[in-house]
Amino acid sequence: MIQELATKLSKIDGVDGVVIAARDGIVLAHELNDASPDKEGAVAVFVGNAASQASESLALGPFDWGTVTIGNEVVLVMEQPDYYVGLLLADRASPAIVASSAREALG
Amino acid sequence: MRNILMDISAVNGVIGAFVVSDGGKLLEHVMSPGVSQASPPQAVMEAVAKIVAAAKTNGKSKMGDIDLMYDGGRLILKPLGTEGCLCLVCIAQINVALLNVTANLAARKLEQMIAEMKAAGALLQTQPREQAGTKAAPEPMTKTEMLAVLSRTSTGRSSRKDAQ
Repeated sequence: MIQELATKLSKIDGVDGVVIAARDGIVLAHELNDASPDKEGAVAVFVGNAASQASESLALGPFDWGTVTIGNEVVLVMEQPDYYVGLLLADRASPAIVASSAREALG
Repeated sequence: MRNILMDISAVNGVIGAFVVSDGGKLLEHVMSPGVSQASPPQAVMEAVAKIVAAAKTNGKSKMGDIDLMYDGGRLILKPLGTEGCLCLVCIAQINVALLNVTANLAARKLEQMIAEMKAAGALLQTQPREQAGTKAAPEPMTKTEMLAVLSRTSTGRSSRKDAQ
């Protein structure tokens, strides 16, 4: 089920890779070629958790999505009730457009 | 440092700007004119430190910007080398490309400035502005005050549920 979701997300235009990690950092599913699932999953979980914490303090409202740029790689992080989704973006992919497509795929 | 942050906070859509050291300590902050000048809560600094640490542990060479989108605003983090982070609280619809023109230049200056301060041991002391003989930082802004600020400054992006 989760792996099917990862596969579905990997087919979105502008997505080069997908990792789905539980809130405790365990990688539930991934569609990654070269990248390390554990490392990418850890980034998604830490950024997602910290983003939520910052949101509460700054009263910015619910966390929608976020991007982290590391080297030449951009990871889009989205929060779900039980897990975080990390999407590795292709060159020139729009985070906003990919986030919108991913939101539809996630239901 | 304050002057640099004031330049950034003058950009249309920026609500506030602050600099956090790599240890999660608030070094300086500026809120846009017309907005409460209270400093961001300590929890934000801790969250920023966590985000920077998480990105660093990925083992890749260079960490770039972190852009966090919320229903009611946007938090943009610009790492200052290994020295700390420039944090920008903005409205959700801010023109990021326009912001980056000012913010990237400012980030380079701040990185150099913090490195010099660190070398001089200034970061080991308390409150940099107190050292400079100026007024100490005001009390942290409460959540209610922050909500009031955002409701005045944000153009109010509607929630996804509302849109549906």
